[in-house]
Amino acid sequence: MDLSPFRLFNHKFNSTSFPFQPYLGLKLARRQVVLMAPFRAGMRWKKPNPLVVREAIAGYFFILPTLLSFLVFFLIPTISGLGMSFFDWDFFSEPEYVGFDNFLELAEDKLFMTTLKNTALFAISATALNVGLGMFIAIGINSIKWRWLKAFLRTAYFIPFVISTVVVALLFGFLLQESTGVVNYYLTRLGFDKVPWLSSSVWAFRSIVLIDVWKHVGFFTLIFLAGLQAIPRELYEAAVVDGAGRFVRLRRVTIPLLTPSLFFSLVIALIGAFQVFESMFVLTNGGPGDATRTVVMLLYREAFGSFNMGYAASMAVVLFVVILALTITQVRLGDRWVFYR
Amino acid sequence: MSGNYKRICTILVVLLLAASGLFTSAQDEVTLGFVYGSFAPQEKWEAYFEGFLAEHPEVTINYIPVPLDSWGDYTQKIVTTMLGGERVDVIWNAIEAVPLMAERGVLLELDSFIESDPDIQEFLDDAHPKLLEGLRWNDQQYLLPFAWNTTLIYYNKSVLESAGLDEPAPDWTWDDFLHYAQTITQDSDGDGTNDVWGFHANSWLWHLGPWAVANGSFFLNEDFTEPWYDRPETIEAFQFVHDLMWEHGVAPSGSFNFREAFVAGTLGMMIDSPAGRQRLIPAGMSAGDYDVNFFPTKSGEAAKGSQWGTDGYGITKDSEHPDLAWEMVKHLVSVEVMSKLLSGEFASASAPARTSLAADPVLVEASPANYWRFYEVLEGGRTVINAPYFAELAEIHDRYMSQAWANEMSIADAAANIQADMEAVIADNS
Repeated sequence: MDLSPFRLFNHKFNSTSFPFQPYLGLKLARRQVVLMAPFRAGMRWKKPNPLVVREAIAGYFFILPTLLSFLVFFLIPTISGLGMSFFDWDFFSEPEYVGFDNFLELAEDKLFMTTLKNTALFAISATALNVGLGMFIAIGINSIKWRWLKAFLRTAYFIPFVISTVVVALLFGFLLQESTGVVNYYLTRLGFDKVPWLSSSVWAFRSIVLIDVWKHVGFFTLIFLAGLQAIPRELYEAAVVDGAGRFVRLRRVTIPLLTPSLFFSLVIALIGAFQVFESMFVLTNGGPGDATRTVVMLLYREAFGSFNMGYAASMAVVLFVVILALTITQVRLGDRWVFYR
Repeated sequence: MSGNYKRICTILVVLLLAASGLFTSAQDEVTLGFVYGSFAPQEKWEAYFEGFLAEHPEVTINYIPVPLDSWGDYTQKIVTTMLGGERVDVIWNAIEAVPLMAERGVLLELDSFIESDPDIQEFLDDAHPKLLEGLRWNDQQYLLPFAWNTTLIYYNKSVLESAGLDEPAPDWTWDDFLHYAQTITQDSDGDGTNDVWGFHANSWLWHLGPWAVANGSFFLNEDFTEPWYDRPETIEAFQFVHDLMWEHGVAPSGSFNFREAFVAGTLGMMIDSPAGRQRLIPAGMSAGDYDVNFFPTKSGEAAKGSQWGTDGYGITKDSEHPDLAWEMVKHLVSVEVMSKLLSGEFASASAPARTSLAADPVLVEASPANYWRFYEVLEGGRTVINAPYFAELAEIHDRYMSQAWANEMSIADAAANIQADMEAVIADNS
């Protein structure tokens, strides 16, 4: 995993582009078959069909931009990050090879363990809420008859997703101020006590999850809406003929056929949540205490505050391995419950 | 044929002469790389360099903006820029980064230039000695000071007047301060929420440090090798500020837009730097609507100390034209450039390093009556934490003080934890 500021500040870019890499792989594989066509049948050279070669070249040409960006912004930084994790490097002097020392130190670092726990807790809560609510809202919107209202709601839920996370964080920082914030003003008007949204350890964590859900739920709603629209109407008609009620149709038709969207959403949401950084950085700076400090925040501080580039790289490697392991597990488990795959 | 030959020879000679002329002028042309925080527009620096470029027409400046989130991050980005092959000659940076940049061999020592250049004496005599001293590390001068900052207690005169309070005396005590804050704090509509707050306190190093200085202590010792969070003077100062929120209820807890509240008249007193001048006046206040006072002390003896920081200009060790870079630095700290801090399009929130400019009528007119107190606290003040490991120390402070500020940890426990963690960081780095 790379350590470049680009990656740290734009993890959403990478987290959304990453799952598409298997498709890139597929494309590549298909093109390979075409290009290797002359070698088929015992790997002996046969005069290639010029049309096939031209098509293959065109194919490579088309995937070149994606391939280049993948190499420059993903693969090379990932490999250099991996290499960096075996060095003690303060950025100013020559790196010194230390083997697995960084990882051994990491295993005993209490703060790293705290941030790993925070990150996992955040990832679980944010993923569950984003995906669960996204599906719920999508089903709700899909059942609306008026097309204009449907379009309006779809847009309204999606708009927060296109706003920069830093802007969202600043906006919520204003709304959630304890003494003069708008939210607490209305809460006290309704007779409730003021909530220390960002200044208490428990509430600060909840607020960050809440803000993340507000920002991202629209994206997952859109994914589920697309999934819902792909469900053939005949299945519902058949279910109605069979005497299925609204709930049975939801349980037996809608949800099973939404599982590809659900699977995709879970993978995306979990990867994104594990890389969370901006909202905490802007709103709480990891506090109070370490209540909202995540692995990426600690990594950033180690790299750019304390100049422990190698140690920070080892954190990134651990995070990468955790995300990779979770994604592989999801894909494996997905085989058991996802339809249409 | 011979005519043609002559003609060709003449053309060749002319071309050669022209080319040699071109090369000669190209050799004389010099490009100097200048690094600055990208929040400031390039036009500001262009305006600063006008006089220098007129005097040195052979110089072209390569403006290199670098994003500034924190001084550590900014410094790291400067080094990355330099490692990436960008030639940097002159750097704008702050006191916090001086030890780091000096120890890592990024900056050139300026002492040899100072000793051999009599022209700079005028600046050295005019600049506040504390600022010059603050930008030294291991007995070497690394930056020349430009603009500086410190903090004092700001009070809104009309809020005090509405509460029936006179302007506070410079030698006010903690008890006086509490009385002021309690008198100002009001829940006028009786809904259980204060409509006017006496004071705003937060746990930032920048805001908390002066309370400790005013009580004869600080976060760490002078050379930042020994934390002072175990000293009773430090703990009781922080406890006093903490009590304003959680014991006396005269300061709001949690995040709070204190400057907006101060301008709106819903906050009586706050901590701010000379920068307040630049922020309050555009928001609708005039210099006569507010004033500044020293931090109160426990005993009542006027606290002529606060915490201060400064920025400045230095030369990189990689500079291929250190002499020209020195001329550039000299120009940047000249009266001509520094007076641009006071007024005009690029007026700054910070105070000029030259003491002669402190009494400039433009500055005096735009400032509250007791503005001179900012200069007075420089004498007994402490610099912001400027050790090579400043970012780690700052984070430790924030980690525990933020819990104390949320009332989830006592000040005594927070101070004990900070003491232990800072000692570990210092031991690691020594």
